Amino acid sequence: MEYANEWNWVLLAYGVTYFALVVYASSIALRISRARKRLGGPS
Amino acid sequence: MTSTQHRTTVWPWIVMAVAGLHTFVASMTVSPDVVQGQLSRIMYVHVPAAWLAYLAFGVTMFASAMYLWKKDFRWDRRALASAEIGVLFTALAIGLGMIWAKPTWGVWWTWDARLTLTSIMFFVYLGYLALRRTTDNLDVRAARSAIFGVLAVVQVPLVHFSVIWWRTLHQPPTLLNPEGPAMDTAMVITLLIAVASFTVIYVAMMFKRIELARLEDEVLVADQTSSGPVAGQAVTAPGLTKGS
Repeated sequence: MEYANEWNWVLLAYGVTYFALVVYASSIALRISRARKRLGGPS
Repeated sequence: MTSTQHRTTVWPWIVMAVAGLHTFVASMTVSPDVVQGQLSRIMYVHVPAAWLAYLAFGVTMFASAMYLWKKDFRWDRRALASAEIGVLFTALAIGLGMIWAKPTWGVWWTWDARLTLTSIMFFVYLGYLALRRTTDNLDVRAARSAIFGVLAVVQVPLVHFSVIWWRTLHQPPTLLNPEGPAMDTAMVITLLIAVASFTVIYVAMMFKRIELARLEDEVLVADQTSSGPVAGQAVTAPGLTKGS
């Protein structure tokens, strides 16, 4: 069975997945950095 | 709690990147499904995301129970870290399922038992994270969220067995099928690789999220024990002198 623009849907799914993982990992790194600054330690 | 030693661990970031790349390469090089075509590749991220939601909420339940038993804040922080990561992967599982559903079912969403129960599970654990923000008292916060974390896990078997207990549009379990995986061997191996890689990403994320939870608790304790102005820099405590 053929579906229209199959690769577009695949790219959308992988784009959403990796974007979400990178954004979440970055948010953890940013919050760690902020907390360390609040505690007076190195960021 | 007031430890001043903060070591920066870099390896979780490297592990996350390598495991993510590993999943991508494995799922892009396997042959497409005869019926679904290239869309079958979405399964290699959708199924691991759903599996990690189960795992994360199971770990939250275990850590919550351990906190209630031991009263050790390290278990509370583990429960929090796992719940937050679980919410992320539940959202991903729902979102990726919708992206797959639109070209195959013709709709983004349907009120199917699996889909509905998964979204309820997502909101229940969002509630867990919201509950933790209702108080700054560490003991009260940990006790309340531990009870919630133990009770909320009932969602996981409900979601998993929903496709067996009810007549649903969603297909039955792929890997945990009682009659064995109903897939080509190469696809099963690729799916297992993706599940393993995502699990590694979860473990690496847990290390960093637990580190963050420990630092946030230290900031909270430092704020509560500091003797600064009553309500910020602009407001200071009134002087209570005799006769005023």
